[in-house]
Amino acid sequence: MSRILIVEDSDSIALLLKRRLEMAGHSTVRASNGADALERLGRGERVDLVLLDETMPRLSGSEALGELRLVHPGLPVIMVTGTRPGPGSQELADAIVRKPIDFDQLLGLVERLA
Amino acid sequence: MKPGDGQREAPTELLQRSFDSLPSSIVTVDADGYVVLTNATASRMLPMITPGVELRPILEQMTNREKVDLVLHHRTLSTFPAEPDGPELHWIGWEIPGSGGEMVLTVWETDWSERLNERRAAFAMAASHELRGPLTTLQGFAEILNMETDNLTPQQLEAAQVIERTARHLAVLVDDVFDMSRNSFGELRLTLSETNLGDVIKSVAATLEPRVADRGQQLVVDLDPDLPVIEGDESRLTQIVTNLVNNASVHNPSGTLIEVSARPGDGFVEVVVSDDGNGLPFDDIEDAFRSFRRGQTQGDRTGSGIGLTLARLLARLHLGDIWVESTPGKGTVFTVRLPVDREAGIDGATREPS
Repeated sequence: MSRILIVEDSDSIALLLKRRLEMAGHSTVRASNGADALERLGRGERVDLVLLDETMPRLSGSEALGELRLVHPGLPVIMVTGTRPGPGSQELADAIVRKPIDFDQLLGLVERLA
Repeated sequence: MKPGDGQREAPTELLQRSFDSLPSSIVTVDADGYVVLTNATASRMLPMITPGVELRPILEQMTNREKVDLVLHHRTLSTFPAEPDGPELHWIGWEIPGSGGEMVLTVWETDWSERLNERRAAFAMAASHELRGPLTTLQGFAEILNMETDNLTPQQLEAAQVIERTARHLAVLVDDVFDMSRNSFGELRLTLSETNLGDVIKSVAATLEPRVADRGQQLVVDLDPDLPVIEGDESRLTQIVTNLVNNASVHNPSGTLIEVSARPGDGFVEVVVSDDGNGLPFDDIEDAFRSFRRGQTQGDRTGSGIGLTLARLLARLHLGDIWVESTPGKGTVFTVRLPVDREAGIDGATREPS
């Protein structure tokens, strides 16, 4: 089972992701924006996969993804977007999931990528 | 003496020039319905409306009676072109106070409100984006509750199921709003590949069947075994069939039979979604495809009307079209025609079914 970093500014969506991932046997940690996520990873936080929301204050998902790829090129990242992925994330993310989230799809992707 | 005073023209002449320089047409009509005055814009925009002619018959050549009534009697904004292929014009008329029936009519071109429409579309796009967050939470937690089948009472479980179903329906509506606003920006495009319409219909039926059954209705699928593969966008075709079946289900009572069939034609495939329900409440059946029209006769109808507008838009993007026939009390038949080969099949798919 994997350890997953949830990067999401909305408390309720973060809680939903945590519950569903934990129900599937994974463990989670949370960052509430892109800068916070990079800081955690920079401090040596070990995770197997990152779930990255697109629209966030202080470093959006796609901005964070660009920097994350420089520092942790091999870390799998799934982008979670409202309508369409931000610039560059189509190429950089391992997968893109749209809101409202289809959890069968998301959990399948986590299994495959983590 | 102030500068310019020497050349100041008579107020009536200035009034006439102001009147002529307005971007909209102004038409004044006497109490018997005959045109008295027009401004210069009206002579340009509406050359058929000249002083001395009776207005109503001219307007009735442009559009239907109800819309003419809206303009002439109800002081309600109405939109129609002056000529079949001409630009859409906005019409509004009101009585001149204290005149005993004289009217003034203002007519302007769509271009005028284009910027407003752009802003509206941008708003709709932003709103549908913002709505996705709360929708995710709502749907996701309802799903979690639905997994707790052992710990909930039947009533609680039913409530959780209704919330989940409603959230899913809301997600479809939000998607529709988003697509309509994307279309206003010319951003709605197809991703074409060889598509099996039979598979599309079967998958839509499997998804919607539980919801249709919940309403006490029946969904039947009848597919011709020789359906050709067509050049289409699978997710958009799914959206078309979904919206038509949803429409048939949401607007009809328990006991309604909904049938989805597909058959090949000469260069096209026809998908027919029919029901034996209420029939559509529109005097002008084309109103079914105009967003936000929901008919006048039924108080308890739900649905935004966006679904059908979008379905037609998507069919037309496929170079096909949708037609509707409806009989009050007997039911409604939607026919979608899609070309097998977009290049070759255009003519066949856009010809109205006979």
